[in-house]
Amino acid sequence: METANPHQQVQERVRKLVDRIQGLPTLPVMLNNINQMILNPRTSPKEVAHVISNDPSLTSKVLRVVNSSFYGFPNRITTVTHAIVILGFNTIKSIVLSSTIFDVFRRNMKPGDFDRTQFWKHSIGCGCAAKAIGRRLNYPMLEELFIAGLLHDVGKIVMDQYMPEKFVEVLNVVHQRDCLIAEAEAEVLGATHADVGAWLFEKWNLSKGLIETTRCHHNPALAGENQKLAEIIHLADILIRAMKFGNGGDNKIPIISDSAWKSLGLQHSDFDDLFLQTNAEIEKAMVFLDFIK
Amino acid sequence: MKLVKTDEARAGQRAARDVTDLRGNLLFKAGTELTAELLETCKARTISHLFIEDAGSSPSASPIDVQARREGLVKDIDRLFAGTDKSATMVALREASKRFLLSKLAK
Repeated sequence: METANPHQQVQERVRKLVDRIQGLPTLPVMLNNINQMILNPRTSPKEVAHVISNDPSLTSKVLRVVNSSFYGFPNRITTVTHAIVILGFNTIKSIVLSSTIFDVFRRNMKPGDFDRTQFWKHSIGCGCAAKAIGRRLNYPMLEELFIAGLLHDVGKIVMDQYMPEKFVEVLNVVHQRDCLIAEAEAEVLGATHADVGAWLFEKWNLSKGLIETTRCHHNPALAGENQKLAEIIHLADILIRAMKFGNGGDNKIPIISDSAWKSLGLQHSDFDDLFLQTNAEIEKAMVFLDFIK
Repeated sequence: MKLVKTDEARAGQRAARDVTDLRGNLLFKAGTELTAELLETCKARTISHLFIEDAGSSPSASPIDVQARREGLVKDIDRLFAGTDKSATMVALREASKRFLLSKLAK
């Protein structure tokens, strides 16, 4: 009899896990529309701006981000069309995704054992650390790194919101054993937040890079052609824990993968500067902390 | 210096940076002691977060308090990194973490 490989086994466990979830979050229709429009080479900035402008709350958020020190433009940008012309479609798509993601998971927010403010601080911090590492490595797409860092742990929120009893069990195991949250999830649920987050992003038709980075941020060697991106997020997740900025649900720090460390080509002496650069990125990303409220 | 939600800031703490409203108008300068009235003004102007001076950096903190905070921080970092000593990279990260966080505490 043919047996499933380990990846297939995890996929099957995730499928069983998420089959129990009722009313999963959907990607805002508008974001889907923007994704489709951007794929069409004939789409103009004005057309995309028109779609965004139909949502006044989102328009306001996009303009706040665009005019924040995160981008640091010397002159004020007052229209979405202007923002798209300056930043390009992909950056605007990232801003829309990051601005809406907080809303998607704010619904049905309940007070519980999992501190979402600390969670989002960890996530924003991870995005900032990823940018700092990317800048050090001359990685070409810093925006992609920020988004991948911001979203790498979204599976935890899915679990907290859609299977709260099980997630409380996970947090109890973390508390009792002082272990990593991923270890507790694997024990209690048979899959981790990385698997659940990647599964959600597949459902949302997000980029392959984002899916694989989310799935493999604990083990970047498995990320295939997205290995470099996953290695940066793996390191960023650990750096931000070492900076004690936010909290992802446990009080342990994973060990940096030897192969990822060698592959990135960084030196131990780089840590001090990476902390300072990450701290500077966090100060620029304050606008995202406002969205947590 | 640390960033706190305006809701969580307390009268008596000191602003670590100049505070401006969304239009860039200066409300009060770095070093100003926060009062209930100032905090209300910040909330009214939808200022969600404030940079405040760490208690350890205030002139009223005694050297013993500062030392206790430093020791507590080092213990926290050691606890966070427990079990990672076999990796030279993690040892280097732990020591860099101590340097970074202790320097923040000292500011």
